[in-house]
Amino acid sequence: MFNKYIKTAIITMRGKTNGGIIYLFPNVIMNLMYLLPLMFLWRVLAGQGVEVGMSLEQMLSYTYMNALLYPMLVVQTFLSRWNYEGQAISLFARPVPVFGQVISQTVGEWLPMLEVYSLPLLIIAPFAGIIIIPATPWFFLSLFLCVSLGFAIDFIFACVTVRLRGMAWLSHAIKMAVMSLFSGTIIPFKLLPFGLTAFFEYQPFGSLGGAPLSLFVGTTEPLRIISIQLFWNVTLWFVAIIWFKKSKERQVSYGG
Amino acid sequence: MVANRRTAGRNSAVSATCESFQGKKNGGTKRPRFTMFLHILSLYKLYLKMDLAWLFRDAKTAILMIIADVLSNLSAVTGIFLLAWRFDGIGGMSRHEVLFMLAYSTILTGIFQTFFCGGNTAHISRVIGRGQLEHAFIQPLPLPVQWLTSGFIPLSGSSNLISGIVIMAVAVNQLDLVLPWWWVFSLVLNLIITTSLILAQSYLSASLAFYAPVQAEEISSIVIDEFGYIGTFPLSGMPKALQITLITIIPTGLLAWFPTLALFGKPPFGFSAWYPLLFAIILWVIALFFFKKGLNHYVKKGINRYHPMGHRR
Repeated sequence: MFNKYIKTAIITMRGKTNGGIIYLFPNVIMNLMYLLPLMFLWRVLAGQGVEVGMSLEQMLSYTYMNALLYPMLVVQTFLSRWNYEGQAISLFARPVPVFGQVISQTVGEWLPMLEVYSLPLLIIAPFAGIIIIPATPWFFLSLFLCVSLGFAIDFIFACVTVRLRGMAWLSHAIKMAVMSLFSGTIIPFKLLPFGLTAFFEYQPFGSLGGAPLSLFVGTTEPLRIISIQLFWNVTLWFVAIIWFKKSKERQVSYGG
Repeated sequence: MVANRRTAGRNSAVSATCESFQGKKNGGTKRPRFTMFLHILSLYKLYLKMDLAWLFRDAKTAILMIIADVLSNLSAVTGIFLLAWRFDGIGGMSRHEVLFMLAYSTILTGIFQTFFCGGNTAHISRVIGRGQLEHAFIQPLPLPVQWLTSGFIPLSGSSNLISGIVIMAVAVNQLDLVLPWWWVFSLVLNLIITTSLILAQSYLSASLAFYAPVQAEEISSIVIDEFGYIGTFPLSGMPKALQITLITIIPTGLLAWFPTLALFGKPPFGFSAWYPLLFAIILWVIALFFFKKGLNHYVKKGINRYHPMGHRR
């Protein structure tokens, strides 16, 4: 049953490296450039001696694991882009469900960077004083729910793109603006002022990267976070499936 | 960033304007002698009209675009400001100094979007990678003049400029600064230099698109967006080696942090406040060298990205 999806993921993975692995290195460099200043920013802030309920080690591990797992923590599929480029129609001409194709191709796209970037970083982490063992095994379930919710949200934004007559850039900009602040992947919710922590944990995007990362470093209670994630998964997958079904016939393919 | 917007129709409008500049509409015998400056101003006026027409033609989409621009930029700067608030400043910079720096970054994004984000003039690797440079070749205007003017979207692109000015006014008010009369000119000059730095980085990286059009099509966007985001980090308090790296090899520190401290009269490492200008000149010299080299390659080899039916490969 899963064989066709695994094959699709493998084909996509090979497609990412067809031009040679060298084309992945600019992404690796950009990711490292992004990671380093943030790691030092935590050191600077920790040195200021303000009590925020997170140790320096926890802040560093949080950011480091975010860098390692980023594609999974805030899922971005190709669906909106393909809609703009007029390729999304081809998904309906294949003998495999559209949801399954999008998910397997997206997972296939993750694999080369996980191998070239995340794996080496994971290996050197202990030497850099980074904790790579999760504080609780609930992290793995939370990560699964985070990925699942990420796909649901991406399908919803793909429907937004269809409604906006293929304006992929617009829906992408809104999505990334919301995600960068509300997903908790960059700034841990625990560090937010004005009592915003609880609000950010309960809103739907808080069940993305911020949830598994906070469980990884052990700054939140597992059952509460996983319950919230389950609630948003059920709700948003329901919305995604219904809305995607309704959006199918609104799609326009013109390309260019 | 504002991108992929309404390029259709512009080129023909520019041609029409150029014909009028060349006096063809007056029988082709006598050409008006405009200076280049007036020439550019006329083109800005033309693009202003087209931007206005776009706003009226599809107001709903235009408003959504403007909201997306503001959201995109504000979300990038809000996180850092919330941190500065919680930790009562960052690395020796007070909360409101950090706010000023983020306002500087927002204004910078606004200026960049207003002047260079129409028609992918800043995201030039897209134009090159998609094999669309020929569109510019057939215009009776020098390429630099086209790129200086055709990205002008003063109405739909200025939302971040306005919000940045408001945030900066709040920050300056809270900082209780006594500013000399020339400070505003210094601010404007710094913003011009910083904008030119972003453009130089984009054009330098876009040179790769002449050789690898598919792979490097989005390289300008990556450089602009990622460098821009890292540029919102206050580097104060970080190790000196990292600070120096980020104002030399990877000059993200020159996009907001260095100019902010220079405007407060305390440039990092005691460098001259003119350092970003010197850096921008050097970077432009390098960018122009590689860009021209790439352009020579392009005019000989070309880039064929389109299927006969119009889809890109």
